[in-house]
Amino acid sequence: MHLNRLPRRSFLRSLSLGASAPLLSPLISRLEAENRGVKPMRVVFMLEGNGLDPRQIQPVGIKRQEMPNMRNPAGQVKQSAEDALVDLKLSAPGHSLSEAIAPLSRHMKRLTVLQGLSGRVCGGGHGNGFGTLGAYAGAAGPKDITIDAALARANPGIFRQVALGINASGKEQIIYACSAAGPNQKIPHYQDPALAYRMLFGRILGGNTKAEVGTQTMLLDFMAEDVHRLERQLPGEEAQKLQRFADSFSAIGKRQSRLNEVDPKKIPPQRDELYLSEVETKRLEAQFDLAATALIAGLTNTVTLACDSQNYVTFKGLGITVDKHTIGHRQVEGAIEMEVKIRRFYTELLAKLVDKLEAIPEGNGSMMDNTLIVYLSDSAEQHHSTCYEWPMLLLGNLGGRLKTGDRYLCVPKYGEKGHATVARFYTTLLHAVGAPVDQFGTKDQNMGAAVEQRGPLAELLA
Amino acid sequence: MKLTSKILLFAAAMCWIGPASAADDVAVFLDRYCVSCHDNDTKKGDLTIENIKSFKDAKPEVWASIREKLQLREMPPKRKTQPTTDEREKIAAFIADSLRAAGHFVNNKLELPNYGNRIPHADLFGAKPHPAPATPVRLWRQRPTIYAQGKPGAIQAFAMAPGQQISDFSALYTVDEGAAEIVLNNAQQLVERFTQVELDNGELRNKPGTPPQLLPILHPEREPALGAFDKAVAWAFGTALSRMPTEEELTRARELYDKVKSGHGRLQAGRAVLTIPFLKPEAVYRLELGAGPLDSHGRRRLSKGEILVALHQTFFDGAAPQTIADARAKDALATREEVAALVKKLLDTPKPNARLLNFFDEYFDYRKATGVFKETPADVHFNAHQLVHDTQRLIELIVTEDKDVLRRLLTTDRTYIASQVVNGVPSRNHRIYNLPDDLKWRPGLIPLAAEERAGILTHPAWLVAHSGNFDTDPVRRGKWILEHLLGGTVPDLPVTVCAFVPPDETKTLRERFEVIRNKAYCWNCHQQMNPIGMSFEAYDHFGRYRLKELDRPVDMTGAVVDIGDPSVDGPVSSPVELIHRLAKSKRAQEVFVRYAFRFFLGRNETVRDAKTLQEASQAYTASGGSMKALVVSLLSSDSFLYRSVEP
Repeated sequence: MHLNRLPRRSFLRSLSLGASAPLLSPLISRLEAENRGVKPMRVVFMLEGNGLDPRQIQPVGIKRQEMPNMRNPAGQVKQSAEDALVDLKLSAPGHSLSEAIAPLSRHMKRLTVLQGLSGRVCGGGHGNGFGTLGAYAGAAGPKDITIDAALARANPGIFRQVALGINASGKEQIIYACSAAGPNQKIPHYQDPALAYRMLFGRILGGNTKAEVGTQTMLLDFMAEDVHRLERQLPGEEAQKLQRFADSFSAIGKRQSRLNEVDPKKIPPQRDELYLSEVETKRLEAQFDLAATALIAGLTNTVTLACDSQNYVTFKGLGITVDKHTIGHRQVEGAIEMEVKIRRFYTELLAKLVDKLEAIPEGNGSMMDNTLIVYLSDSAEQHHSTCYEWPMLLLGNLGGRLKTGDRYLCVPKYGEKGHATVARFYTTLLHAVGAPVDQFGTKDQNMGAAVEQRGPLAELLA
Repeated sequence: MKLTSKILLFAAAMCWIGPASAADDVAVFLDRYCVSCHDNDTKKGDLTIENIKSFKDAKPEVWASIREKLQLREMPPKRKTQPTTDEREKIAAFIADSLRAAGHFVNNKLELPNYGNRIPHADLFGAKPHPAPATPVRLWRQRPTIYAQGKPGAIQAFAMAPGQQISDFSALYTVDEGAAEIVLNNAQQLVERFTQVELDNGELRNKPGTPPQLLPILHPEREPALGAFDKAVAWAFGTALSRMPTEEELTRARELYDKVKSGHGRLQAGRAVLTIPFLKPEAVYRLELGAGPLDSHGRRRLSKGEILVALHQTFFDGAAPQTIADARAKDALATREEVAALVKKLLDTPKPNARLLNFFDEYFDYRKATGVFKETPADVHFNAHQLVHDTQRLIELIVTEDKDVLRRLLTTDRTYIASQVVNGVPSRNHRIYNLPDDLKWRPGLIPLAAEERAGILTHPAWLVAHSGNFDTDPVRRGKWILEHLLGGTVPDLPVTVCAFVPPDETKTLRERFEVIRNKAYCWNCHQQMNPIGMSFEAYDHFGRYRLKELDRPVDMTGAVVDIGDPSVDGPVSSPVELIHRLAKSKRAQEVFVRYAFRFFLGRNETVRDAKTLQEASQAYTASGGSMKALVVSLLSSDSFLYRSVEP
């Protein structure tokens, strides 16, 4: 008799018939939720390094009032100078998408170009670290929860959040870049797609047997208790380190017992030519593939993709031989053309993600109907960001909870009545998912009283 | 406003967050040191604290900012009356407690590696030291290399934080859910690998890789005898933690075994039990609780076992060497001398200890030269990897000889030059070192022009590491010297600053930097860095010595400004002169000792560590500049051996 577990695939096949009944449960729970009138909600954040130049996402045919950047007047990147809100249809005659984001043209109905938000509190410079999604000064580390984690907490999946990315060296399997579950609680971003695939789907594809789940639950409870015993001997902050270790075991235990809700048939096999590739663009494609699968399989409701963490990726797969940091400095010839090329690649990945989510029916429409994708740079508007402006692209309207889609929206310039901060945009998202706060992140103390910094943005919240 | 009434108001309103006496202290402190600028009329920096009558009157972020400015010594301004270190620490701690009590996060920058110099040098080397140094009780997450050791095929659960002057700091890392998940996954994979068994006619056999002593605990039908069970568990503890389980741990393991067995069978139960030691906190953290008795200074000494784990993880990335195993069996390690003898033995190897060399890599931070993108120059061979190799070999030589280490690293005018022959053509960087085209290359040390080069800071590897893609970087070069040799500090880049010097092809970099010189706001932070860094304009951004830039003579003058030490302060005519001056100074040696402390203790020094630092510096001097003597002193100090419950 062979005591070891059967090879995972054959084990899975042997179970497939008998297991079909419990596998219906995510669908059933989704239907139940819909019956109760709660539509699913999914949010995807996509961050890139080195700045998202506002001109590169400005639609053709829509004029933008500009002035020199208030902190870097000599710089190439100008700042929005709108006196009043500009709110136009992207699809109106004479308008079209700029070259850099043209791949999103096929999803114009879902697209919102959001210009003019500011995030001065984040600090600026080469990347804003955890501040990008935290709306606070976060270059030195997370001061508080970031918006992706806050949305995940309000709307948790089996995996509360899936965080992925690529970085320059390709050696690190995980890095801590931009997401945090709370003060000093960094969330790891998986940099190795094959590893992420295994960690997310391994158990599901392996069958996740009752004995396995049961044993693990007992072991993890035991370990949590073991950690607590030691914790009692330690003072303040060091005890917190242990507390977090114990909490992790509890959370993992709970999650593992829910993996049976996921249908393994919704998880396509790993495409080695992407997942194991040494080429950055391929690995990034793999990470997008993974994100789509995790959402479609119902494993999570929140994904954060850090496209080029640490800003030094060289996109050899696009025929570019200079790293993104150097391009960001714009001191190589053809830097802007290279930026546009990379941005087209990013937006093509986004467009494909939308395609995939549109292909999955949900309610009377598709999964994409209940999804929001936010694309921004952790370096705001330029490589040496000043954060007077934080250009963004939004795709989807989160099940009608946001008044987004086919819209060009530019808020009035910094300090002008009607101007809005990134923090306020995040506040709006929390209202949209039913976890309202008065103010997310840090208030910009330098902004006059004319600018409201509290509550959701009426222009966006449905 | 009258001082007394203000104190009363403040005290009354603040007592809810702490003892009234502490609230008094805050009121007196703010009134004495802050209100003269931050009153309602002057409102410097747009901040008034005159109206703050209680903790509630200021936003938490304002309190956090007051606390940080005090703690990091950014306020009061240098020319105003300064509070004592003790006063600063008390007030900062009180505000921190109040913030925490109100549910806010307190970011303790003083614990982070790049803020170590915020403790004034005079507090460490100029004052009467605290008699009983100690490190607070702590958990220090293992380095990725330590974690990976003995776990073939495991996924790396941990990463090091980039951009830190010293990367392995206990305050930088915790193990949270994401990492814990990988740790769990690794543990289970590992246990699965060494519990491969098969039943053959009712007889259980182990497959290759499964130790026979585990068989009793893996039998699907037979109950393991108590002794056999304990042996199997002990094997797992030994493998994962290099120690035996305690009685209590064995009892608890048995309880888990019985629980899992009744639900899911004996094999699952056996595997679960064997997984325990791989998931214990000490499998991911270096636990330093101090097992000795509490002494009169509120400290506990580390046990022998704790000392050995600490020394292993300090000096090695792989398995512990025989010396440590021998010490476990033989040494008592009950006195400082015994620990010193062991540390000496560990360092006494023909090739320098790899972690000792790592210290110099992190201290000089020259290896990042390979990550600074540069267009390859047309007229000369340039290979950053080879340059880094040159510097690395020189450091290894000087550390091996272990005499006058810092001074020689800073002043030697000889170096190695790597040579590769590619397609029959020698590929060497000698022109970057300004050596003649037809250099007679040899594998040993090659002399450089003494008026052009002096040690590591004039090595192309260091110069490139501290340069931009297209230009030199006097700010980065000046900052390194200010911090690493002079113990100076540079405030964080303010929110409102976009550090960018406009390009102008008609001007030298020094001329372009005039914009910084001319703005008081910029100059406030740059006044110490730039005059040092500017003398390094003698080298271009590839690290070549140059006499001309844009066909004009290079101005390589500079200055050390305002350090408050007459042996280092003052103008210099060249970088080489600057380096020789610093290499002779006591100050540079002491700052070097501070950095070594941080690397080997994994935290910033505090005022309480003054004795440890002073002794280490004395040991270094007395030994004729032996790095080993310095490290032996640090790692047998009270700071290393004792843990305090209160910070």
